[in-house]
Amino acid sequence: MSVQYVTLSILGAMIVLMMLGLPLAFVTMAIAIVTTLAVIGPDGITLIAARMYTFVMEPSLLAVPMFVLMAAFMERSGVAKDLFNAMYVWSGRLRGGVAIQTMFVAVLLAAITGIVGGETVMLGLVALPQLLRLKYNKQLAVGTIAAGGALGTMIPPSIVLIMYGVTAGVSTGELFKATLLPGLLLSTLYMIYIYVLCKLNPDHGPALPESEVLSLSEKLKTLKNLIGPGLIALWVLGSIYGGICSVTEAAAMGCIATFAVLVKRRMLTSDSLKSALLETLQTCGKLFWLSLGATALIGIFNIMGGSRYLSGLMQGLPYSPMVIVIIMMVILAILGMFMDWIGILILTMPIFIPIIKSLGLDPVWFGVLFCMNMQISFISPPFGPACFYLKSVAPKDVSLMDIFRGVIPFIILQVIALAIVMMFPDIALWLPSTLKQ
Amino acid sequence: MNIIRGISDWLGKVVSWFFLISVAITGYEVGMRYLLNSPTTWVFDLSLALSAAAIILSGSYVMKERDHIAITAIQEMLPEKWRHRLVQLNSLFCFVVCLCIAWAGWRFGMDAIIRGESTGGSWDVPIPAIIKPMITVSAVFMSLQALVNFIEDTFSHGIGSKY
Amino acid sequence: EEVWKIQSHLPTGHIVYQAEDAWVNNVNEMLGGRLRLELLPGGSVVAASETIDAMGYGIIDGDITSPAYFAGLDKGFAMLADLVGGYTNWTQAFAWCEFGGGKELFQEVYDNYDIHFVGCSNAGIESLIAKKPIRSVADFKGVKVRAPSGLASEIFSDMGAAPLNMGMADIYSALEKGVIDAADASSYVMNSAAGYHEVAKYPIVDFHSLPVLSMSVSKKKWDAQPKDIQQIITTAYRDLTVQINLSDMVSRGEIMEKDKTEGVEPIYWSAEEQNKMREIAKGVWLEASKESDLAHKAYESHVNFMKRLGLLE
Ligand code: NA
Ligand code: NA
Repeated sequence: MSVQYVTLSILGAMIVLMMLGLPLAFVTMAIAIVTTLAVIGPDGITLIAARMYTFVMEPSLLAVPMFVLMAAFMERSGVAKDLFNAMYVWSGRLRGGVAIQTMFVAVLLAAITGIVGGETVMLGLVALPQLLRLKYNKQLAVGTIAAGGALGTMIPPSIVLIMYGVTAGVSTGELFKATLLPGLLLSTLYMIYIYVLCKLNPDHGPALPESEVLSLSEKLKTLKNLIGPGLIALWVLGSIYGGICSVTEAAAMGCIATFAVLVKRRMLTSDSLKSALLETLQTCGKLFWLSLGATALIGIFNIMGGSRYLSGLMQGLPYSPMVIVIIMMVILAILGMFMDWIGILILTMPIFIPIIKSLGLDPVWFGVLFCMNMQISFISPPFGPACFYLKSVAPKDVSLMDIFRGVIPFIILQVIALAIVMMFPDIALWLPSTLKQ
Repeated sequence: MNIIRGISDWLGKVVSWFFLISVAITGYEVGMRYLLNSPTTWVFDLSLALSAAAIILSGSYVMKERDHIAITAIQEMLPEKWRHRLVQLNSLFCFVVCLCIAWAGWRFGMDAIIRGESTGGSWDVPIPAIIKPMITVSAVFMSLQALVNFIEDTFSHGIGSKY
Repeated sequence: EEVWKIQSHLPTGHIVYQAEDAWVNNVNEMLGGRLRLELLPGGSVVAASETIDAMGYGIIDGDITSPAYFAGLDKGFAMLADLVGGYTNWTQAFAWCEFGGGKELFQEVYDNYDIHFVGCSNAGIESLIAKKPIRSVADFKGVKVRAPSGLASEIFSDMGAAPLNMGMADIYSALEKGVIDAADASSYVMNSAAGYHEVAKYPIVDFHSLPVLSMSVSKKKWDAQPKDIQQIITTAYRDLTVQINLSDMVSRGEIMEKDKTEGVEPIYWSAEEQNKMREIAKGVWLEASKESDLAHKAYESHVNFMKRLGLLE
């Protein structure tokens, strides 16, 4: 059985089974099992379990449940709501103002956590009802939140970059510095887009009703609501940058801080605690099981020499380095439509990174491109995790199709931003090189 | 059937506490290290193991909630009767796959138990011998829950996957 | 055509992996198509700690790895394969394997898993990265050092340091922010490639641990091959050791010169301080040797050989 033939069969089977509406975790798992039995035989079936075990014991992923739990606590303590409300009153008569504020809050939340799921859920719970109440266009509202949630990975700390750094052997700190400007570029593009869209179509994003516009003194009063979230951000970032703990531990420190707020506000009940924990379990459960399927499949693909085959394909291309990077980006974007980022990273990076290095390109810059691309994958249909998260907390009349339609303009903006950083690597590389001197 | 649902629910509730314990001991470690300059040898391994256990064992709870991620856009376009068939197929499919996972984990888990596999580090505890067999345990519960879902789908109309 | 899938414990970007890859190509030429080796990157099929089992299940046919990963199966593997505080250069460690009873001991334990032990190699001495100059055992007092759990962290602890474990992904920012003062990660060349020299300017070079790499193959597959093929692989593997260590020596020199212009000050320990650390380490080894039969044998073997070399009294 040639690798080429098996690769195509795997892809074909995946698409058919996925379209039948079968859970992705078990689709990839089933294909992995069948392929293992065919290639190695019944004894090799332990491979599936070995891959699963290794995946759940990966230390870098320990931060994921902690950040999700922190998001669940933040949501229950009303901290996210306070943050949003405080910003909300300032948007005043600006058309599209509340959507722009939402994007602003998304950037702030992204600087606290690195988890797209947690951030999307938080924004979906807090901001979406407000946007819909104010008669914002439904698709603009959901698009803003899904894209804003995906920013979680572009503004450090970022789990995607941590994992990339481990795989590529480049420093996480460099990557964090390099991703900051592209992340801000992206959020600026989003805000400009929302502003221009609402200027052209005023009914997409109405200004606040007269009754809700506050005087300056009233506005200033709401600032005290920012103290809570501000302190948490300070605590989390302070514990990282103050040399107290590692990024993984900072996630735990964030949990403890939000837990403390919950206690302080007397909102900690046995029910709220249990539901926060259970929600964390459910969110992490479905995320990780998805990756467990992917990791099983990648194991058997590698044993057949799949990655060697792919890298042979790539290296044989008689193109300039830039064209090869573009081809890689297209491959990543297509994979991003069907797989989660961890699966894509495990599958492609061992192939791409040596090629990038041999072409003399900067792996830090490529890491930022990878991260921007994975940020697209969070919202790109049909498999867009941020869209699924948003759906799970959105009102009943918001369908998954609404969300998919809503994210399309933002995907276009993401592609534009990606192209800009590709053409001008300095956007990514300037900050790390300046800070070094 | 209610027993199986009860087990999935109970298991989910119990293991969700593992995350909180994991956070608490990590906080303890940071405190011990930063304030007393005496890092622990056990927090890193234990918090990782707790989180791993919770994730493996979460499967049946997520299955009970019918929340494993799927793309149902095409399913939703089909006529009611076909849709119902597909939902049934879905549960049967999960049942079979989970049985295979249980099988895949059997020798892997048993070998770890027999050899008493441990972390091999300073805090030498049999974490692998405990976590590895959980794959089979969890997969068995998941396949039972998938079977319950299938029976529910067959005897009552209208209950389907979440999306 | 028979193909052996050999999994390395290293990622494709690692220079030692690249040396292994080039080596596999050479061996394949020598084998003239009668057998073909295929190298797989670390973790691409199973985790490094699972390769013994994976050979047993017929998932892979062999591995080139650090046997210290098997400490969970038997704690003796840690002492057998990564004797922290022991040898000061690769020729000593290699000599232990070839002439000090090392390879016989490896084969004895691998017999339990139906695996053939091909030979030992080394991947260059590990360099401890540090944010402040640590020139002696005394300087270790109170130093927060990232170290893998086990022998390494116990020896650091006995020297008065405060060892802690964290994932590789966390090391850079933990060093940068001062969460830790030092880290036991990899060889000088690899540490520099990961950028650690940017945030920790005082690497201890040339001493603290010298992990043994090994190649092993499923016994069933090995025994089915004719003598000449077995001999080609065994002899060629010894050449890999030489290649890896010579290239490590050369590239380390080049990279260190470059790093010095960025303010890096390599620290070398005096023989006196090395001996002091070895005496402390010996105490930890002795404790650990009580943990299993294999650990006891590994301890005896190493200590006797070090006495022969004059490293221990
Ligand atoms: Na972030
Ligand atoms: Na996607």
